[in-house]
Order: sequence, then structure tokens, then C-alpha cells
Amino acid sequence: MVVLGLAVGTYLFRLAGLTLLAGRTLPPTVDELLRLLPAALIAGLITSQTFGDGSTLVIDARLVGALTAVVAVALKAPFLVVLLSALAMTAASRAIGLG
Amino acid sequence: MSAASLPTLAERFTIIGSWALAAGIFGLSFGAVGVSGGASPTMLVVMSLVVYGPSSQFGTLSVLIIGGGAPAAVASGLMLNARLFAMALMISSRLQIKPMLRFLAAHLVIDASVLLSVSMTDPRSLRRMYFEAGLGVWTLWVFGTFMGTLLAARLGDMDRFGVDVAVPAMFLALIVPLLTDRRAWISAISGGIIALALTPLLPPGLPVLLASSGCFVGMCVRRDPQ
Repeated sequence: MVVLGLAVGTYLFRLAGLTLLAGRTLPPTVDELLRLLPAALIAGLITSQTFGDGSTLVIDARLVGALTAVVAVALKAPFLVVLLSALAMTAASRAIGLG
Repeated sequence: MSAASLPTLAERFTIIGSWALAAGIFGLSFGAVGVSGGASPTMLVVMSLVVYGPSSQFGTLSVLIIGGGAPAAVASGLMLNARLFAMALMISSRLQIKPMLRFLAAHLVIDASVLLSVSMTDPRSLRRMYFEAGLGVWTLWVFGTFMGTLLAARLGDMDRFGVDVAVPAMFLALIVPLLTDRRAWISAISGGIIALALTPLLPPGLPVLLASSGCFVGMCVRRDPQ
């Protein structure tokens, strides 16, 4: 039941978003908002997944990995290098006892 | 992803492969956590097939494991997936496909498929990137889940591998090409702050969804001089 409910609800979210603006030309303001939306949404994902722990905010080994990713991105490292160096640094921080 | 034309096959393989690999590692940890928490392997794999929303599945699973009950589990999962509506909205006017195919394409709305394809200028490249990324990530997510359920006993706590930093790291790589002007920067900074500020106040999932309103703040600043 849980699986079914989640699957149907999730699919409807996707379908609604995908069909709502299909094949229409948008006013410039809406177009500009849609251009800016990913940056805002992704930044929210980054901060909440770096500092969030349920309903509290914490600083732990994830921050080390995230900062590593920032450095890797600044150095224009390939995507896979960004990902794996972040994982490695977080894992290493944890191994030496940081959250 | 500043390139607006379709990357070569090798480039696509690398970039989509990285996302798919991350999804695979994630799936591994989802399957392992689920089985250790007492969920049936079949249920976990079916869930990955039909829901295809990693963070929401983790959310639902954790509510189930702590005994939160089915309605609460579904509700928290759906809240975590509400942002897929925003993701789908972003691509909806650009993804030019037959109406029937749209029902199929809807299941593939995920961060990778939308964000990798949205910068493509011609409709054919966009479509191709969308389906390749959507299907590639989906396949590895399901396969990872399956392997996780098999290896649960051996893997133990996946967090010691730093798996929980995979999402922020991927998104950091992805946000940079979007930060092309002042408005984009302000939108991003606002989104990041909104999500953090709301985390203690709202159930998981909603803060991230509301972070998307950061684009309104971005709209309030002046455009960069051309």
C-alpha cells in the first residue's frame, strides 16, 4: 500500500509538471523565473543535505566532503572526480572520528 | 553543461555514467538499509522500479522503520517528491514529444534527466539526453537497490563510506554552470538560506520545495548590464 501510494502520487507530480506548460510559449517573466528556479532549488538541496539531519541543523563530516567538492569544481575537475573525492573526504573524516 | 549542442557519445557516457554510478551507490545503500530495517527485498526493489525517487524512498523507509505508520510514511515521501513537479515544470515547454510518449517520459523526470538535458538547444538533442539520462539512472538505481538487498548483511553502515555527501557533491557540480549572472547567484543564495531557515520548522521535503521560491528574490535584483 505504501509503495502504491507513493508511486501513484509521485507519478502525478511528474505528469502534472510535464504537461502543464507543454507546447506553449511563455511570457518573458515566467521564462526568466523558470531559468532562475533550478539555481534556487538546487542550492536548497545542497544546504539541506549538507547541514540537515531530520529537523535539526548539524555540522559534521558531510561539510568536509562538500567543501572538497567546491574545491574540485573550482579546479574544473571532471564530474566523477568531484563525486568520488567528496565521498572519500567524508569517509576519511568519519574514520578519524569527525561526526 | 555550458555546451548547448549534444555531447559526443563518449562524453554522454561519462556524464550520465557518473550520475548513474551515484544512483547505483545510493541504491546499494537504500537496499541495504531497508533489509537491515526489516523490509522485504521484493518490496524494496519494486519500490525503486515504480517510485524512482531516491530521497523520497529513503524518507518513506525511515518513517516505516521508526514505526511511523503507512500514512505518515507516504506523506513524507510525497513531500520529498513534490520538487519533482518543479523539475518537470522546468522541462515541460522544451521537451517536444508525442502526447502518448509524454506519459512514459513523466516517469523519467529526475534531477539528472532534467538538468542534463535542459541546456540543449535543439529539441532532438534535448530529447535524446533526457531519455538516455532518465533510463540510465533508473536502471542503475534499481540494480543498486537489488544488489543492496543481497549484500545487506555484509555492507553494514553505508555512511562510513561517505555516501550521504553524494547528493550535495553532485549538485555542487551541477549548480556552477547555472550561476551565469547576478540574478542566478541571488536566487541560489536565497534558495540555500530558505531551505536552512525552514528545516527546523517544517517536515522534511518542504524546506527544499520552498527553496525554489528563491527565484522570486533573484527576479527582484537588476539584470546584469549587457
